Formats: sequence, C-alpha cells, structure tokens
Amino acid sequence: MFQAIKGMIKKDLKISLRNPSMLILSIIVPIVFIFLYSLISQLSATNPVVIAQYSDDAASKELTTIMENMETEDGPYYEIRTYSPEEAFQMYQNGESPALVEIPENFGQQLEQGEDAKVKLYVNNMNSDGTKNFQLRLSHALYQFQESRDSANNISITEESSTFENDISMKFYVSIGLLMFAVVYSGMVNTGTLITREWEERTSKEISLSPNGFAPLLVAKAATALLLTTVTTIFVMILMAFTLNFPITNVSLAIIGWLFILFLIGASLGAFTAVTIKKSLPVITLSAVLGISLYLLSGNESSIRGFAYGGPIEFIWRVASYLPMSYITDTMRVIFVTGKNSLLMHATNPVTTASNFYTSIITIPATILIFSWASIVKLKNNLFTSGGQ
Amino acid sequence: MKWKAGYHAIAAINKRNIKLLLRQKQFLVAPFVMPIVVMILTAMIMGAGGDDWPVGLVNESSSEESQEFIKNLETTHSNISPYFSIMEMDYEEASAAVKNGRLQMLIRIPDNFQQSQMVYTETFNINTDMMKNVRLRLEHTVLNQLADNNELIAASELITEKEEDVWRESFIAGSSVLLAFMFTATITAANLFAFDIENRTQKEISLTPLNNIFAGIGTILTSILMAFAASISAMIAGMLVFRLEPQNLLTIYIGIIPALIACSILGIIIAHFLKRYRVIQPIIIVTFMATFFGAGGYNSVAGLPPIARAFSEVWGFSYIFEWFNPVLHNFSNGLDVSQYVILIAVACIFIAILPIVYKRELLAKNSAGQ
Repeated sequence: MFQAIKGMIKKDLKISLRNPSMLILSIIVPIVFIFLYSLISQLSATNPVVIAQYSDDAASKELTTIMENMETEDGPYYEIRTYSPEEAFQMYQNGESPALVEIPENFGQQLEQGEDAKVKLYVNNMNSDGTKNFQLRLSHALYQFQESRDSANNISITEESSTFENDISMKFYVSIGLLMFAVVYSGMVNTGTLITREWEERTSKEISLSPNGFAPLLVAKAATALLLTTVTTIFVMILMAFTLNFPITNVSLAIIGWLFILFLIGASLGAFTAVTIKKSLPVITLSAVLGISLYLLSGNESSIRGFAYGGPIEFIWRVASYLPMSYITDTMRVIFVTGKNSLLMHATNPVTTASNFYTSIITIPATILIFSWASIVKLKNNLFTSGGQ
Repeated sequence: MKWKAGYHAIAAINKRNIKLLLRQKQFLVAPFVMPIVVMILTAMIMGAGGDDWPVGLVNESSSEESQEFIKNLETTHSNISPYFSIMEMDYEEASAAVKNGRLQMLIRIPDNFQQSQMVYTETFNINTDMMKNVRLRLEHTVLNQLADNNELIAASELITEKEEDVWRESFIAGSSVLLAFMFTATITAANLFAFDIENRTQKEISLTPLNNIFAGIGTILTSILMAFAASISAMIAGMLVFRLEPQNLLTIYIGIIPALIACSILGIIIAHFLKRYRVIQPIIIVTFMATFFGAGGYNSVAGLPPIARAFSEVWGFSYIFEWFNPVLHNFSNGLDVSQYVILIAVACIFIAILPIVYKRELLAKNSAGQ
C-alpha cells in the first residue's frame, strides 16, 4: 500500500514537472491576482489630490500641514501631488487628479476678520465613492483645523471603547483574505486536475483494475495536492510580505493548522468538482471563479457585517456568515493581531459571535466530510465506467 | 476571385466557430458569467446602495442642542444619500451590536452634552477602511452642527463636474461591461485557437490551399461578435440591478472595435504559446479580474495609489477603462482624435503580428502522432 502511494505521488510529481502547466496554474494564477489586487490595497487609505494653495499665510500653511499629516495605520489620507495653483488646475482638468482642493488667497484674512472662510473642493463625480471620500477627508482636515483654532466651540469626539486596541490595518486585513483565497484555490485546482488527469490521460481503467483498491489513489492525490499547495502558499506569503506587509515571521503552528483545514476544504471541493465534471477545463475555471468569489464573500464578511441591512447585501452577508471560510479567515486575523493561538472558543475571539462559532464547528467538518465522501462514491462509480477504454 | 475565396473562408470559419461555441458550452461560461459575477459581487459587497452607514445612537441628554445634533446626524448627506442610517437607539442593544460587529459605531450623546460639547463612541474597529468611513462621517456631522450655530471657522464647498454623481454601483457595472468586451474577445480567441490545436484542426487548416491566416481573421470576427453579445448581457444586468444608464452606445461599440481586434489577437498569441486551453483559461480569467480591481475598473486610474498608477500607465487594458468609462457615463461625448489614433495604431501592430503567429503555427510540428 505504501509503495503504491509512493509510486502514485512520484508519478504525479514527475508529470507536473515535465508539464509545468500544473505549476503555472497552481502558483502563477494566485500570484498574478494577489499582485494586481494588492496594488489597490492602499486605495482605501490614501487618495491622490492636488491643492491650489494661493497664499503662504499662516492659516493656509496650517491647513495644508494638517492635510499632509492626516493618516491611519495604513498610511496618509492624502497623496498631495502639488500645491501650485496653475499645476493643480491643469492636472485636475487633464484628468490626472480626481480632485482639487482650492485654498483661496484671502483665506487667512477671512479667518482673522471672522468672515465666511471657504475651501473649495472640485471633484470629478463619475464615481460617487470618490466624491464621498474626498468630501469626508476634507471634513476631517477642517475638523482638526477647527480643533486647533477654536477648540472651545468644537464638539469633541471621544472613543470610549473599541474591539481592538488599534484599528486593524486594511493591508493586513486584505492579506489574510487573499491567503485564504490562495490556499482554497490551489487546493481545488491541484486536487481537481490531479484527479481529472486520470480520465484525460486514459489511465482511469488501469486504476480501477489495481489490486490495491482506491485508498492509495486518494491518499496519493491528496498528498501531492498538499505538496503543490504548500509551495504556492509559501510563494504567496513571500509576495504579500512585500506588497501588503504580511507578517510572515509571525506564522505560528495555529495558523498552519487553519491553513491545513482550508486546504482540506479546497481539496474536497476540487475532488468533488473533478469527479462530477471529469474535465480539467471547467474544474479550473470553476476554481478561479469560486476562489475569487470566496475572497469577496468570506474574506470581507466581518467588514460587510456592519452595513448589511436590508436588500441583497444582507442576503449576501448571511450567506457569507454561514461559509466556514469566513470563520477561519477571521480567526486567523485575530491570531495574528493578538498573538494568542488558543482561539477555539467564541468568548476569546472578538470577531465572531456564538452562533457563528457553533455554526462553524458543524460546517467546517461537514464541508470536508460531505464533499470527500461524495467524491469517493462518485469516483468509484465513474472509474468503473471508463468511457470506452 | 482570391478575395472572394478568402471572404468565404472567413465566413465559414466564423460559422464553424459559432457552432462550436454553442456545442461546447464550457467556452461560453466564463465570458458570459464572469463579468456578471464580478459586477454582482463587487457592486454589492463594495458598493451597494447609497452612502448611509448604519450606526447606533443613544441620546442621554434632553437639551435642545442634542436634538439639533440628532437632526444633523439624520440629515447630513453625501451627493447621493444621507450619511447615516440610525439602526438602534437603546444603549444595551446598540452596544451588543457593536461588540458583535453588527454595527461598527455607537454614538452616545451624554446627559451633559450642552455643557461638555462632547459625544462618545464605541467601535468595532475591524479595519481602517471601515473606521475611516464611520469616524469621518461623524466629524462631517459635527462641522454641519457648528455651521448651523455659526461657530464653524472654515467650511468646504463641493463643486462637481456634473450635477449628479454616478452611483458607485453604476460605475462598477459600467466597468464590468468594458471588462466583458475585453475579456470575452481575448478568452474566446484563445479558446478557439487552442481548441484547434488540441483537436488537431490546425493541421487541416494548414493543409488548405488558402493562407491559414484566414482562420485567424475568422476567429477574430467570432471573438468580436461574442464580445458584443457578452457586453450586452452585462449591460442589461447593470441596467436592471445597478442603476446603470449607459450613454453614447454607438460611439462605444464602434470605438472599441480596434481594441477588440487587439484583444482577440492577444488571445491568439497567448494560445499559440501556451497551447492548452486548460492552462490559458485560468490565466486569462484571473488576469482580467485583477486588472478590473487594480488597473482602472474599480476606481479611475487617477485615484489609484502611485504604484498602481505607474502600473496602469503600461498596462494597456487600463486605457479602455479610462477612455470609455467617461463616454459610457456621459462625462465625455466621445473619444479624442488622438485616442482613436492610438487605438487603431495598437490594432495595426497586433494585426502585423498575426501573420507571424500563423506562420510559426504552420512550421510547428502539431500533428500529435497523426
């Protein structure tokens, strides 16, 4: 039996190395997606803007200094590309900047005389998200300006409590979702194509005739897929360490354990898809679409939870909250943030509720077992109907 | 006469391709489903509805000022909708909702609000993006309150290009339509070319008395037709679900043809090198999905971070989003002459590459044991 498993693993690895298409699918695809997606990870933090600052008076300087220094854990709120009025208007009109802040020449004078001082915000409103973001950022600057100049009349905002000591960095938040995508996608593709290969290369009949039965086949396919997925995961982690500041040095045994569970989910889904469709093309396409959909749903569940009220978004959130990947993704985030590895109970995990926790205890093993069992049953039936071989 | 034979060859290849696609429905799944999946998931998860953010609000004060502040919270708005939606006013319920992440902020107005001029918050600070959205809304409300009381020292005045904003979900839907154009042209051409290699039709094509490039032209024609069909299905979905109001359609459908020719030939080039459609398919799917997010589909290039802007400058697909989105949303009546020239020049470059690909294919040993 052990010899059969060893032989099968050796065969699959050899084929993978001889025909690198498997490696391309497993490694390059998540890397391309993660690289391009990580390009916009800064988007939520920093918005490029041009400022037309007409005067060098103290008030104008104070406001622009505030605008320069406003930041979150992920970086500054503004990427100020110029202060020159001529250049600013030119860049805005050419479409090189989506917004322009105009601080008038008499800004300081108006403030001194208690007149209505106005800062103009020009926005290309082809996307309402941009309009909102620029308006709120400028309000943040003006709120701080008010606080610094007339704190007595300002309304102070005090944060009494928060779930985490510091806001979780968006880059980090995104990186864990992408890690989940990479492992599930890779697990699906590797397991799926390793299985469909037996039909496409017409070796299914030989397998069905083997005196060793199905066990060596299943164990060997899972082990090979795990090896290939591990390689992909390591590459992805290294890439994200550069692009998203992924804390690669903090990967603990608990994280590896959760990644292994994610692999099992991906592998069982991939195996089921493969034995159902028996063609690698739709399996691969489905893995890519499913992987990215899972990233959008489960990778963002804890984010969308707070605004999913009514309409399709609430339905989408409810679906996402039942997916086992959502619980695992958030648990990994908390392990990284808190450094605590024992987060098995919901009471110690601040991003999950009791109902989500108990649901996940059922859905995680259920997903793996149901899809694996269904795959084995289908595999047995399908191998014996080898299609004219 | 030769011209006529070529015309018939192209028409025959196109007819065969369409029949093939209708029989092999696996080739239609990605072009027709993926742009709509991207549209639905992205528009709903990252851009659903208006700008109203659900919060809890607890008022412990009976002062007139606190009532004014609540009125401001309820009425402060963006260009498309109010900024807040008050979901819970009971402290215990709201605080529990924040702890569970069901609300991201609880705003508490204390009983001494009139004297202290202070509000308190509790947050579910799951990430900086969510917190920015909710905290900055509250500060915006404070500025409105100060303005009402003539205590605001400097105000902002918003000046927009058009009177009404394009809703975020409509922008995403519009970009998904453009994605459907480019993606479908590329993947259809790549699949058809690879299908001919894998099913050994390339060999038959190479043995016809006509130049094998006619097969390429037929494939380009099919890919463009499929791109038009996929874009129409994505557009209808956008119009029905995401308030998309597409404008200047004739300009878009004519102007995008050179880009689609280039995309189709790119698909052929990819298939020529990678040969097998099971390899080609995921690479094209993931590259286009990532292009949508990282290079102008989700947000205009000018609003992207520096590294993404630099990448978009050299990533040709970004220009399709940048040039056609304003036309689609009527922020521009049409493309500039220079943009047409560039699109046609790019198409010409790809057309010049096409014979090289087919020549290489002719020389390749593709008989696969026959």
